[in-house]
Amino acid sequence: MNIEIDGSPTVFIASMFSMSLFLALAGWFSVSGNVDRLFVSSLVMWLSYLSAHKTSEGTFVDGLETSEGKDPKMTPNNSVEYVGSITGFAVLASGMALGSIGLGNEFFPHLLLGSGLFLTGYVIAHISTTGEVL
Amino acid sequence: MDQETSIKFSLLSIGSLLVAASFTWVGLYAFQKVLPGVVTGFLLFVAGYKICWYGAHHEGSLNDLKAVVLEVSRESFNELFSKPSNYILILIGVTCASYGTLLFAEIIISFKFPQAILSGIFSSLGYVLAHEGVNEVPI
Repeated sequence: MNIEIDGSPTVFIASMFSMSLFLALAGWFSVSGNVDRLFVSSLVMWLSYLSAHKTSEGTFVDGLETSEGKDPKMTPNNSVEYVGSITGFAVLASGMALGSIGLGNEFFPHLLLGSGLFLTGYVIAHISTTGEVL
Repeated sequence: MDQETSIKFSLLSIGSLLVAASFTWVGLYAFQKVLPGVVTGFLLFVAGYKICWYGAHHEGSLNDLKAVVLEVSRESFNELFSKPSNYILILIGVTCASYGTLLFAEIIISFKFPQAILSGIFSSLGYVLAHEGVNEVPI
């Protein structure tokens, strides 16, 4: 497996941190029902995603091959990739669980850690199934 | 800014605003337990994502964009009659995923194990059905 990032790793990591923070904030404002803050958090989270995708893959969103489906890359090919996908999904799911506990208890640090774990799991699973970071 | 860049920038901006609106919509209606609201939010996300996609991959003038949009609209309209099963799958898939999201919001407020399991089942089932409808592959 050969993982390459198109642009600057610093910009990529900064974008991922920003996405994780604003994902947590979007969850927080969904529960409290604060529309304006929820909209702004969602917008910044999405712009962070576009920035991270542009930095790692060179395009803002995936290209033709995934939009038109039938993408042959979308399967793990060997045992390392299978283990990677399962680990990624497990990390992602534990992030969701921790995040929802944090949200339910109104404890922001757990929510933030949960959103970080969720995105880390997403990246691990994505690399394992497609060979690309995002 | 040349025409190509301004078209890209405009499409990405409109798409991003729609995506942000869709997250807001889903977030608010999921916690208020309004299923049609969550379904509308997810459909809004699909529209916003698609517009961003056209923005990210657009090449050429405004006329090139018009031609692509016309072609895609014509194909989608024809498919509505030639392969209605895809659209039915998308609608069922989005509804299942929306119900899963609504249950997820419920367990955040007060945790109940059966609802957590159902939330996972409905969300993943919805994803697979909608993905099959859009791309003709399940994942």
